[in-house]
Amino acid sequence: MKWMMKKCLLSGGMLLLLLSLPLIPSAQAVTKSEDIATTIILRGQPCGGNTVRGISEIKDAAGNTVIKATCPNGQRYRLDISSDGRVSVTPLR
Amino acid sequence: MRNVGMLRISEITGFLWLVALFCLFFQMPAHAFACEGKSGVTLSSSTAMDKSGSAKKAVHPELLRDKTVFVPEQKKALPDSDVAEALRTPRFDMDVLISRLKKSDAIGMFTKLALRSDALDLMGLVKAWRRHVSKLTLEEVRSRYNGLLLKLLALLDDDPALSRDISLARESIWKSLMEVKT
Repeated sequence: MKWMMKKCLLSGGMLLLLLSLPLIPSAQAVTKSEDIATTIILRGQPCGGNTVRGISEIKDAAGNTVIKATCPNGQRYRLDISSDGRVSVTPLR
Repeated sequence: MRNVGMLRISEITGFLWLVALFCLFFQMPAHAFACEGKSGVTLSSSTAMDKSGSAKKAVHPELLRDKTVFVPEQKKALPDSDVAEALRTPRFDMDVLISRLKKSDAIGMFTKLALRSDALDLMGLVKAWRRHVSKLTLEEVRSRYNGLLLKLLALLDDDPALSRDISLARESIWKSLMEVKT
């Protein structure tokens, strides 16, 4: 009887766990830090990791955005995003 | 009597466990946590693709609205050579692919803008090649296109359905890029 109860509880527990699987998100949205690091890498610049730190963002009246961030390898980069959506990456000294 | 009742509960739970396991293992590659219902409506786009014969019947109307679903041409409507050609190069809707790419959470906003810049540069190269202004050959332009597509597919690692559809539409995208009028 006890063995049967244990078996039933175990099966029920596993079933609950299985049914809760779809509730767990499969992929999380990319963070801003990861996004900037990916953009730097995509432009062929070395970054040394997939996240950046020390992000500063300035947007001017014309709609151009300047982002400055530091990669894990210590290199600081400047990302220029023009109002028409063009992206360029330049390393800072 | 209680033992018998407990046995039935155990059997039912075990059966449910097996059904759930079956659903999980056989439907997970389609990125849908649901099995095919009795009505014949398939809830995953990839399953719909596999059933080429009854593709129109199997595709859910919501999927047709939201996603690009490749539907091979009907055999009766076209000659054999056209059918073979249609099967080789599946139909795709560029606008739907672009909209799915914009909505995808697998790529961040800045990365999407960077990819857009690359795509615009590539279109500029194609235009220059067509006008005989560029020194690049068609093979070099094609290799740039392949490189850009490779980057995109690598970035879409967390959105395998979109990655697969773009990969399938590779040749069609190239053809449409070549057909762009200046």
